[in-house]
Amino acid sequence: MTMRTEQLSISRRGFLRTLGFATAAGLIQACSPAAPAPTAPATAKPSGTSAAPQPTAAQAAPTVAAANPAAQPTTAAVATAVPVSASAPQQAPAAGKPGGTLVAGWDSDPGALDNNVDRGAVTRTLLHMVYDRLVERDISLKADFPPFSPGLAMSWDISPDAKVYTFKLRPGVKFQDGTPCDAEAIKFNIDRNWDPNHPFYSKTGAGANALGYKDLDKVEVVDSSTVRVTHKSPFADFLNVLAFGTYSIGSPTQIQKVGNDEFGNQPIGSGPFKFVSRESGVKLVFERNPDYWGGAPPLDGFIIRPLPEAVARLTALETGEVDWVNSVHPDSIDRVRANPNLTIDLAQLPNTWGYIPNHRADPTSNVKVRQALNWAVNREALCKDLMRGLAVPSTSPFAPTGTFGYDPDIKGYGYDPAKAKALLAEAGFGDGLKLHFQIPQGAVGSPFAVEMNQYLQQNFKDVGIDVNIETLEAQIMQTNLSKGMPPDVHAYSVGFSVDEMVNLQRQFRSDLVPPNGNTNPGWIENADLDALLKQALQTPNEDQRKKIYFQVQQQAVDMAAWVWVCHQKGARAWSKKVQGFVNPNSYMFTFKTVTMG
Amino acid sequence: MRAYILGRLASAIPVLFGVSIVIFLLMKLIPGDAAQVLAGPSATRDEVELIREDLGLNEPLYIQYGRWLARAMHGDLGRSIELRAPVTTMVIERFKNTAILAVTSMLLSIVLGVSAGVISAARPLSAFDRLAMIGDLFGNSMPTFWLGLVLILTLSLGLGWFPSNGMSDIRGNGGPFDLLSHLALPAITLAGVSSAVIARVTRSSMLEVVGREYVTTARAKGLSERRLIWGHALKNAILPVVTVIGVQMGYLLGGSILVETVFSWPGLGLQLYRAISSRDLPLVQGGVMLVSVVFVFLNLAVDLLYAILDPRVRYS
Repeated sequence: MTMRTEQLSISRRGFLRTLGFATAAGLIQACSPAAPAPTAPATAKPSGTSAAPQPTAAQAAPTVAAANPAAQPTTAAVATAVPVSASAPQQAPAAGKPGGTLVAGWDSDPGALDNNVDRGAVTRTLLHMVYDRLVERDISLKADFPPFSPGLAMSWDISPDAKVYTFKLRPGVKFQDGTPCDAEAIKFNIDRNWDPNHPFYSKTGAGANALGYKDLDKVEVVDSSTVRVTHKSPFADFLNVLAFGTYSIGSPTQIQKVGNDEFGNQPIGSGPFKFVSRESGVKLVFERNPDYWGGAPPLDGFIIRPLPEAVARLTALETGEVDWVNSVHPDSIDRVRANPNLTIDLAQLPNTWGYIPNHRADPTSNVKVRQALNWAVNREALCKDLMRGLAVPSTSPFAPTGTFGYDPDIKGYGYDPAKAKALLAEAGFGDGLKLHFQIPQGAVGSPFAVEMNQYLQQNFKDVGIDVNIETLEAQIMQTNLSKGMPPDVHAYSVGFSVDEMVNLQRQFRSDLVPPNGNTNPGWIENADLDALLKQALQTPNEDQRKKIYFQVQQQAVDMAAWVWVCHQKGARAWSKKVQGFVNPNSYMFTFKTVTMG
Repeated sequence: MRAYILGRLASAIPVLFGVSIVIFLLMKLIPGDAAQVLAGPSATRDEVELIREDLGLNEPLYIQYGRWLARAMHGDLGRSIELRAPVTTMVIERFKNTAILAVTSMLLSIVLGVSAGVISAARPLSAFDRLAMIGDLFGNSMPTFWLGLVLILTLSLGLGWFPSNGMSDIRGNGGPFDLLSHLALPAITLAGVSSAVIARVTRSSMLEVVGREYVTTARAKGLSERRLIWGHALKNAILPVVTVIGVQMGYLLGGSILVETVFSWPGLGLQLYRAISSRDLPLVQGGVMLVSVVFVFLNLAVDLLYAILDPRVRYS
């Protein structure tokens, strides 16, 4: 390209004038109302609707018992009553007037609302509001642990070998597009996630729901309100799995109309709220489902506003830009408590945070070293000083509240540096030892993983264990989990959601070590544990199964399978205008009881 | 000139092609993929493989890239794995939001930076000059997210003058004033750094020009100081400033992730960050390609601006 002298065809002033006009035009265009975002299709109003009364806490649990009087086992099937938590769940507080729109600030932007794909806890919470499942954990109640309740299935029979489940469906339920939610619809949804020959088979759904569906033998429509599901081998925990968000039931008509790829953007379920529209990064809009079988929710609807930064989220709540936030940073807890216009509540989340030691490599293959690591951790101080009450000490796999599986009789670990040193000496490390831990930066396990590890590093140092911490990006950490620990890594810092005892299967079974699974990367291979876990899967009786899992937990604690540190809490806060919100001990929550005062 | 423009656009094609390959390979080199993200931490290998197959991630790299390229040539950048929405629509919408923020903060930076640089150069070592340079040092040194948080705490939470997040009032009907009120704090935050850079370069360039003989001659001939500085010296000092403005504009249009996060501004930077974290390859590729195209046009615009501003510059 050469430079030469010539007369300009456009003057400088002309150019600047044009540039100014173009910029102004661009800004004006940006200010004009945006083109409407893709909305959910208009739903046909079903005729002859009747609003069923919303079940109260007193009604939810006995419903199945009424359908299966006295829960008498038969020779062919075991009619199962709904287990409830030991303490009586509290009903939602007194509500204000119906109507109004709740604006909620969330710490991340939810993903597409596919009913069978897991895009994280934030998205799964919305699945709980747009869709229903065959069985539910009732998150509209404040209880130690969200109690089991009927969902689309009012009752069920389980065969004595825990292979065959027969579900009796709730009559008259319709999807938000007016089509019936019957046995055919249930079969469609299940088949879609396990039968490769199904025209709408989803490999992603099959992968995400393999725990519940991989071992299916057949799914039968007995009649329009009865579905029978048969497994190839005993699966006593099937109901617990079905209550999970990705086992939601979507409208087959809508799936057939828009296809698998698009269904997450135009979701149709049978839940209390309907999806309306999304502006990516700006808002998601939901409106009331007036024909919801459990009674139309009082709110007109709600709007999710993604607010990833903690200070901005709290500021939005304090200034009234949003009415509710799903997460408050520990450093801001006191500030929110001091604000008379706000309410804050801590939910015990069903998670366990700690370390998975390397059971194959020295020195953590030595049980005394693992036990020493457990005794070295000052859990109380960590929960009080660093986490400001946003965690409770963990001495065993399950939290005291929020999880169905906590055994108060389990003898776990406390804080005893002297005992830790003695155990290390017995193991031949009286002069101390060096270990290498890998930890995630955020997301996997805890948003505060780095700070917690730095705190614990000092605890370990106090007993002579010099821990070198290697911090990894969240997805790299997840990749490492799937590969398992190499010999030069002695522990992974992890946090798992452990709300059901069935999670113990994944944590401690030797056939699920990598590359077969991600949840036993520490190579825990113990024949006694395997036998107990296998026995649990084959025990349909809830009480008996629980006892087996208690044995699993005690054995895991005795062999120091993990270094348990804490169970975290979730701080949710809202304006005093928001009434009727129940903060359940769960990652999930619902707005179906909320009113705006 | 026309031939020059066409030649520059033609030479951009191999650049964009190279960028697409580099991004694709980089994302493949990073451990983890979208299948693992979707499968979650409890998944078995078989479960992850099923999802990987569904997403086409188990195919050879050249087939994955080839498929993407064939679709991209028709304007189809695929679907986001996380949001299942067309990438083309998503990145254009987000880029529009980033452009609004970037253009506004750049205009603010130019006004502040050029003015401060010119006045400082016209009065070197004066009180204004020293103050401007301290401000310049502050602007260059402070983290943008810190400034953003301070502005939120003081002007939004403290005084209630501006909203703290988003592009519009979620309960309102939008409109230009609503947008401007939401734009104020993030634009000021971004302008803090850019204006400091522009001020420094403007000052240096102006100091060089005002020391020239023709400036002394013009002053001796009785030309007013204002006309001399703003009408003559600035025109001759502006080219390096234009270069810096072009670079800063490119940086802003690439999406200022920190400011977008602090203010929840729904821009491309924040979207790209999330896409990388969740290994949403189509969205990363689409977003980076769009930014690359913008950079190409921006560089061309800066070069053409040279020709407009300096009659001695011609291209053929």
